[in-house]
Amino acid sequence: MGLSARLARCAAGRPRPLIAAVPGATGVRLAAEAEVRRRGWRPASSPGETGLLLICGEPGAALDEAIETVWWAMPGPRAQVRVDAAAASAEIAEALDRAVIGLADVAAQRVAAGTRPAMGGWSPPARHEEHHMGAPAGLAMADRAADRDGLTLDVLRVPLGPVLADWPAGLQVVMTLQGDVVQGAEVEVVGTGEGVAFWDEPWLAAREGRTVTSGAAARRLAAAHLDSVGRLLGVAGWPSAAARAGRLRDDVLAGRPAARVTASYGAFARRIGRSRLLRWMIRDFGVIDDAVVDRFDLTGPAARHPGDVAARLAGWLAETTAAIAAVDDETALAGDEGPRGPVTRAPSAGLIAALPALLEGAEFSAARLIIASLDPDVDQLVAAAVSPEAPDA
Amino acid sequence: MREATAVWTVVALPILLAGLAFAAAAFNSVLRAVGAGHPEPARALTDPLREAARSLIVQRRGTLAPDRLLTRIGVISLPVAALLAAVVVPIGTEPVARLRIGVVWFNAMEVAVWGAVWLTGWGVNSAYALIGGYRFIAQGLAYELPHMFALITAALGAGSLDLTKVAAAQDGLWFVVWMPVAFVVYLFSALAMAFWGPLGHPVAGDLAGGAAVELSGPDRLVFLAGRYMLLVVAAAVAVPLFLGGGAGPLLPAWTWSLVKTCAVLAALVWARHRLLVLRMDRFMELSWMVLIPAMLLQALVVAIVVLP
Amino acid sequence: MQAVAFWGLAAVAVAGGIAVFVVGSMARATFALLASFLAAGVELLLIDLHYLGALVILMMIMEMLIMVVFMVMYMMNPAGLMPMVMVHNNRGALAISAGVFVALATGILLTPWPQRRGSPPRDVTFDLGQALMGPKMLVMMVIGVAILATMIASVVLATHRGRYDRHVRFDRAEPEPDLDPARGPRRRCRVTLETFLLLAAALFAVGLYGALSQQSIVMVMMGLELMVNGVLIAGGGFWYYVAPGTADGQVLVLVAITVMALEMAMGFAVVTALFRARDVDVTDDAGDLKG
Repeated sequence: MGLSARLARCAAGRPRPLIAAVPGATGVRLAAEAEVRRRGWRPASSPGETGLLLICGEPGAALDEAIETVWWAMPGPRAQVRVDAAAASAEIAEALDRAVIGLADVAAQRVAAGTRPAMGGWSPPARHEEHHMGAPAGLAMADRAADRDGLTLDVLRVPLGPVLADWPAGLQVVMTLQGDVVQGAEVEVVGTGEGVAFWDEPWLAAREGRTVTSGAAARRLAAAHLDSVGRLLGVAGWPSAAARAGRLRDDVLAGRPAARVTASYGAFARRIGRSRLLRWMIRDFGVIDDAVVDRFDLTGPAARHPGDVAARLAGWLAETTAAIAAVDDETALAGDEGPRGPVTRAPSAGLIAALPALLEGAEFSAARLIIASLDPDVDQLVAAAVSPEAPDA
Repeated sequence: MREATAVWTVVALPILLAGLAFAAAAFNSVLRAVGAGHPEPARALTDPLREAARSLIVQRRGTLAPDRLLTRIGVISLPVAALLAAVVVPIGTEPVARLRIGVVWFNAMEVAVWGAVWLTGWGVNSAYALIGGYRFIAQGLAYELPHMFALITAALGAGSLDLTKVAAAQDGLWFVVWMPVAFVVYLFSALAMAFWGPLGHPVAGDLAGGAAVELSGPDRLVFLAGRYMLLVVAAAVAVPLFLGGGAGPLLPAWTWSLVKTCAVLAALVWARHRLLVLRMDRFMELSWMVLIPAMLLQALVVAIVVLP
Repeated sequence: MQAVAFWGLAAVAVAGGIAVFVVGSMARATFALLASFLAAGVELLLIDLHYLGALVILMMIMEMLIMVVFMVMYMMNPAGLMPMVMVHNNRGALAISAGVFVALATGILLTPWPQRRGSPPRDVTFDLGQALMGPKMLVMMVIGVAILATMIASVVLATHRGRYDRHVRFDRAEPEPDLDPARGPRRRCRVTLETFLLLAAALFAVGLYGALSQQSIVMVMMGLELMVNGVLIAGGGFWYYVAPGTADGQVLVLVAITVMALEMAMGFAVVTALFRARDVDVTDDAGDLKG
């Protein structure tokens, strides 16, 4: 008894939080990530790894179901923290502290474990009752389909997202996999909570007539691109560079002086830009050419920097350099060209529409890199769906 | 196999292996904390202990219709293979069990990792884990031949498959000096056999943890500990193969073995933070088009040199 | 001690072999087969065939994993718990293999086996290397050419993508001091040539049953591999108990290992070609291949 309590206390100080981001609540996601980093905690990437589910924002019914599945798959001792979209950093910190205390409370955890259904050999939470003939555990067996080598092989349908590390909040891609090759993909947006398009805020506010400086907008744009770059690096398997991008993003958002940001960003961009290994790993797939741009009406960086994943990364880095140079610009913001394109036209819709065609035939890791290199911002769709006139900034 | 060995070494070996594995994990945590810009990275030293404590109290989680037997076999095989491989590695001048074909034995145990990772990925009945398992097979096919050639080149230079003899043959000139290609290729394959860092595609983040994605609790602990042990053994074998074994001034041989092992281990751990993951389809190309021809040339050079 | 180890490993080898055709899950079947091979590999280690023992372990793990990947490719259901038993002519196969085992066992027990000639050399691996590079050069050349031909043939047959490579290494090793290698098995223990051959016969019979009764081509190949496993054990036994002074037995084991690799490569190439052409992977559907 004493031993497990001591182990629990020792472990509780270093939980591995899994962050469930909700579209329309990007601001609180960033605050939560910064808080987690400040504590030196290591984010988890799967339900099996985590003991602390950190839900940033109010998920709608559909997303809630997905989050519930993750919660259900988490082994105990476990804790769940919900912070709403308006939460300040202090509130997040306080909620995390409470969660740590809860994790160390062996007695309470034991009671909680007693009330949940038995682990192992589980069945998905209450849904279809029909039984598949002869198949184990009522599971549907893999289907077959033709593959590119002319063989007829088994296929699996595998959902990706919406709760996943380095993944756009609220996006779900159902892949049809043959081995690790994507034969087809269906994309859908999960969750229509209300919320704001965080990355587009300055431009939207300026359109409403409020005074916004170009410098503030440049900061937001640089931070948005750094967020995307960090995710792409995370998916590419370079966690140290991804962490660096995250720190830079937070520095830029926190309003650090231009001189300091410029210096540290310069070093970062050089390191990324000069990495031949990185370029070798992300080139020659996910190519967006003029035909794709026209077909899906793409705008923003994806259209400005046609080419493969590496070209889009280089485009982000170059645009970030320009934006960081302009963070002290005091002139009033004009125009509506946000991080992903014109903010009034919800450019992420085009990016999402383009995904299935780009993913088909890609190897699994290439598929994830393609998605990360487009990094559609679901906030735009959610915010547009909720308040078509203009969200409250 | 049946050479006389002191009983205490049999007990000491797992302890030493576990200790070095912990050191590697702690070093890895500190490097990660430095990378994340944490003000006191030294505090991360205890992170592996806390993680281990957490793993011990966490429930095992189930997946739908898993093959538990195979998963367990796969998970446990990792540390077992590492331990069995460590048995033939000379610490100082003597291994725990002196096997005349130590190099081949090490190679066989390393191939056992293929099975371990594949079983872990397959058994849990999860698509991500399965892809992770597949990736390891692909990785194996990519690194195994250069790896074998690297081992054989060192053995050829010494004229023996016994790791102790290989180390002894470097009296004066370490193999790393005149077999640099083999050494570099060996380091690559050391990363690959422990699916670590740049060659960690089978457990990469894009698969949310790949082959290990569904593991939790003690299973996860054994799997990750086994992985660190493999890294340690891979580093330790580099010492007799290329770095002169226990040779060195002043200090006793076993100290030199340990020092060199730690140096190689630190380099391997560091590589994870410096380099990004190599995607298997691309690495396969590099391996077959560059590493294998380079290794063949290296082997040819060594063969010509040792030819009487 | 050694006798205990021998019998334990023999039990594992045979039980693994039987399990292949009983477990009903392809993944388990493959790893049961692997357990059988690993036991055989350790048996070889026990009789001082260190190099070949380690080689068997190494090659068989790789081979089984290649096999498993093909298996999953054709039947992809993670964890593979779909129970599947596809047999034809089960009773007949059982009777034939039992008969073969009884015949072999009788032969083994009744044959007056020659006395042991010579003793194992100080370094058996060196001996093998010498033999291969000297008198058995022809064998080695044939093996090399066969591997090359198989690789090319399987690539042509199967797909435009490469299959795996299989290579056998022969290394020179210096003779070195060794403990007396002739000690042990002759003393008290009951492990004799006959027991080795009985184990080989048992493995052979189990494999024969599988080859005759299974419908899935993959399972038939597992049966064939088990039969070759028997040959491997027999070769090791003959070497140790009859003529340890010459390397012929070792060469036989090496050839057996190569044959397994070749059989697998060719087998899978044929399966893949068949699969591509007609979408079948069971023998009865491919009956017209008989010609």
